[in-house]
Amino acid sequence: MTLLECKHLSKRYGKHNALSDINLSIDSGHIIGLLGPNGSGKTTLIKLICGLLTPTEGEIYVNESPVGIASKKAISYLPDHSYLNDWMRVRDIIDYFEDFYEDFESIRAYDMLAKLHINPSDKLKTMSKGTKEKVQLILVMSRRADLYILDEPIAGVDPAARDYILETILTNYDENASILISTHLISDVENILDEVIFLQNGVIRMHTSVDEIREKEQKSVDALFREVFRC
Amino acid sequence: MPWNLDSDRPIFLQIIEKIQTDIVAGIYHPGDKLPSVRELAQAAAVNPNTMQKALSELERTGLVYSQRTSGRFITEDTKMIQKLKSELAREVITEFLEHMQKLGFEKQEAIELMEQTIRGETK
Amino acid sequence: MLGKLIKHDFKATGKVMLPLNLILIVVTALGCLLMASRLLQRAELLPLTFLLLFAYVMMIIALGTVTSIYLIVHFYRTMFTAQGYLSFTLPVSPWSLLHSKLIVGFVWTVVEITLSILSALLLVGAASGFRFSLSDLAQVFSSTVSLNGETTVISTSLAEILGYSPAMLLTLLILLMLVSCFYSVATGYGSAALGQLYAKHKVVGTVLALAGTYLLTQIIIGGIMISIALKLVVKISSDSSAVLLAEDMAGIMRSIYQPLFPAMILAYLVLGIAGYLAAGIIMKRKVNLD
Repeated sequence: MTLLECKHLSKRYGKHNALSDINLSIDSGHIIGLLGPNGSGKTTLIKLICGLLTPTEGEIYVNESPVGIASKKAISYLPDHSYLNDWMRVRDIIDYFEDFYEDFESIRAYDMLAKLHINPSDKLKTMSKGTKEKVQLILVMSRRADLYILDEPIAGVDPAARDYILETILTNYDENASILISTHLISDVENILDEVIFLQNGVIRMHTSVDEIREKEQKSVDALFREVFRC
Repeated sequence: MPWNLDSDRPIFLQIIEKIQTDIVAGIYHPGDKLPSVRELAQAAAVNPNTMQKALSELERTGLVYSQRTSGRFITEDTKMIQKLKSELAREVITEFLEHMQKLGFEKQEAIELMEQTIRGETK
Repeated sequence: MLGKLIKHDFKATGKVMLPLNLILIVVTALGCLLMASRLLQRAELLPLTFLLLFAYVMMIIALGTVTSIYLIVHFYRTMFTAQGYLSFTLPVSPWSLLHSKLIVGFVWTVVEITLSILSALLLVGAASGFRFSLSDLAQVFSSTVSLNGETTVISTSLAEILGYSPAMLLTLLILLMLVSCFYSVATGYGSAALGQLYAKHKVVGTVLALAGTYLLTQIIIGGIMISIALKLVVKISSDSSAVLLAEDMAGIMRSIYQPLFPAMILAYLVLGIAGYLAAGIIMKRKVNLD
């Protein structure tokens, strides 16, 4: 069963084509980079997959069912901004996730929080931006979902935190699941990717394995990206 | 600490090289058990599929073998390891000589310079 | 799932709603003490009494308004701003989200209004020393009144004018209260949903939608009243006996007031359902989070 499939997916805002005729297929067991300059449509694509936007045209299937309750159960999504109620305590949010997501493992969450010395009784609004982002990542990775979608998980975060985040992603990786990481900080993540999708102006420019790029083009993904998207 | 990996060459090749180096240098002894794919991938900060690819290739060459339930082990064939050691050394030497040639040294000059440098170290 | 949504929403809204209603209870309690102590009945304190009364009325109005606005803002924030990312990625249908918010909003609105009504009744009761009883209340409707033991007959009773027995009237009033609570919450949410469609200026859009709803409601209520009055005018003009006017005043009043309650209940219900459907359809088909 294909984990994610997009067929002729388009999203238009008035006259502006955010995404045009996207055709995409993703299987389980991969860590995929969704790469592209700002405004290329990465976040739009992600929001469509997660059911936060409705397509203008085309279809999306997650585990062969259309976007809906089943797909939302299968997807664990990390937005690129804070989306939780600041007044909540960490343990309240963990209870919340546990209530709504069958696949949420609170033990893992508490474990990861303990390693970072984050007190579960703390309120979100007392935390620094970096700490809040780590908490959000921990929540997302504590689920045993089929598809993890991380929108810019390491942007705006210091290098040590970046290492921690990448480590967390790898630690929680499951070969029965896939992780889709949208980012423009390519050199930091490319070593953990096995596939990349280059998106530009709402169109897929390239969808290959990372090894192919390194073997054929003899370049890093980062270098190729700079070439392909030269301003 | 993540291993020192270059982004512009296939990672799995670099992993193979590193493990080969570790084996011939004696960091891994013949018959040693390797950590799991996940553990190695985490240590190297790479995609587990990539690590899997590297290990499969090592298995194919016989340097590493797997026992279904127990995991992966370094070969006990010391002759193979010796042979690999020589091959790797030969590659390094060839590279050195090519490099010296680029600097303008003939092979003989290069050898002499090398001996001088070594003597200089022990003085 | 719906139960869980409701539980969590009560937790979230309770943080504001409980203190609000608590204030009402405390003020009522203080007010009752004040009334019972008869301090305010002293002539020289009359201006103070008026002031306190005025403040009380303002408070009641304010609490009602704050409740309404808070619930709409809470809905808007949890559905159409950053928190919407959490709401719309939960494994629940958008209709479930709406239903949970409606139920919670409805409950708080009803609680607040009920407490307000009880507060007023308690204060009146405290002022009169709780000497009146349910039978006193019933007298308001009946055609006989007994004051200090003497019974006098009023020519027409409230029941005749309104066309309903006390029990029926009470039922209708309660129904009207419940439906208008539903209307308030449902159209509030519908306005929020409509407002956020206006992508560049979502909040302005919501305010405009609310204003539009208010206008529409007034038009409809006004329309109902006019049609009732027209019916009456037609009836009078077609039945040109002057006798009608003189003797059947109560009947005329009745023909105005009797349909009024059901008509208003129906109007609020229909508008409420319209708001509910607007919110639901928009949440299902036109989600567009920034």
